[in-house]
Amino acid sequence: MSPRLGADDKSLVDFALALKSRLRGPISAALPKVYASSAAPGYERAHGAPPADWRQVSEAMRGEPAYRWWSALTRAQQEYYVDLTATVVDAQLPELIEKYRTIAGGPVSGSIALDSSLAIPDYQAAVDIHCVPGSYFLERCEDDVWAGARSDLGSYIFAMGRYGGLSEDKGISGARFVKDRYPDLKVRHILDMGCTVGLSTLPWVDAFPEARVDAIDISAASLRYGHARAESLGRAVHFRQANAEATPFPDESFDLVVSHILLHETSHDALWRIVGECHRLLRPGGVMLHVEVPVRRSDAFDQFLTNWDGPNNNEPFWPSLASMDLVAPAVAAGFPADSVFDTVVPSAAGKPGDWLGYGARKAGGGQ
Amino acid sequence: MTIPPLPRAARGERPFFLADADVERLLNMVVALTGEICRLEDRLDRLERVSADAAALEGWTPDAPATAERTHRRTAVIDRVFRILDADAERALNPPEPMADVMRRLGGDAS
Repeated sequence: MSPRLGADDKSLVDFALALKSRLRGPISAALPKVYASSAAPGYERAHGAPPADWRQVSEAMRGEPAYRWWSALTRAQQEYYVDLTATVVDAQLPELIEKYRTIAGGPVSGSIALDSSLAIPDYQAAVDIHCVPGSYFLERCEDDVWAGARSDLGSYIFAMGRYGGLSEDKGISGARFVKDRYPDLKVRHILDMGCTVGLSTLPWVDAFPEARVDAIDISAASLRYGHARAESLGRAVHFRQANAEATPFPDESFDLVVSHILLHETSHDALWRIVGECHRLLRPGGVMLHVEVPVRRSDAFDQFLTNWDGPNNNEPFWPSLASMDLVAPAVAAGFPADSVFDTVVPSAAGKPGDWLGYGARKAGGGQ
Repeated sequence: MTIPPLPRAARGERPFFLADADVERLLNMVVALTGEICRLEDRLDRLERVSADAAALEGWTPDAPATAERTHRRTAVIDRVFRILDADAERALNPPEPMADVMRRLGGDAS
């Protein structure tokens, strides 16, 4: 089901990857030096104290030519790679739609249920996340799969092969984490929230072959593509167009509710509602796990660099998530305080920085 | 199947970092042009390795389908190189909400 790369496309992708690597090299290595030798002392002269948080670091760095050029090139690289993946997929779109129709119309082991009345929430509608024109919601024709196919290709290229050939590291790592932490957990029914095209969903099918796996997202194009992709890879997943804040599933219907890099693309209020919904959906003794980007840093300068994507790569909630207390929403939702965790999920593929794991276990269930 | 063209601008205010935004627009064009150079280098390399007949290469002229393909490719190169100008034009028609406002609204009391 994946989009093909022709010889010329491959050359452009290789260039985009080489440029991305370059941005992680000497250009970014200079930034801490510039901060220590010029930006921070300058800020201290003007304000009487060195920068104390990431916003103040941002103010201090704003005028530094090294930071300006690094940022300008980073944004340019992002837009270039997005445009490349967007146009490569666009050129193959009629063919990809036909593949989707053939697969979805044939014998399938999973399913797809779309709901065209579902509203796109403000946190996804306000800006196009990751600077992808049209975001996950561009629908230009019937059975459009463009947004899903672009997301798949984009994820693969963005990860530079570090997260596994099928970009499945978040799911594999999450499943290992759950098995290690809760060896007694009986898993018969799993829900993956905000699944996009199911890159992280499929590893849960492999990790718990006896369980039924449901996966929801608000993007119809992602779900169509994800359904065809899962079927073509021989995994049974039941996709449904739904919002994680208020799903159509009954109370206490899942043993495990998971998400992968979903929360940072939502909002403060939505996060509280999503955690509340997880609690409602879990049976007693069931587990919630959100695998997230490791957004927190102890040092103000590192936090500033980590938060760069917030205002500059259309991830508006990212910096707020980095400063949020994640225990409070879980406790308010009804999870026992001592069951809440906010920790490191080791990356199975050895990704530097690993993943952030946030979750809890619902009370009861005799476990 | 007729599919409308892709939008070129991502919804949201676009930050510019350099002191002169026009220099930054040029930077975006330089990035795209560099990509084209890399692509051509690969293509030439492929050609030279497959066909060593330099005289045949020199004397060749494109027929109608080849001309159409080359025109299509040339237009695609120009679209990629000047993409940022298209994006600016789209944002001028549909101005985005300032990013600081979006972040405040979505961040609630954590912002």
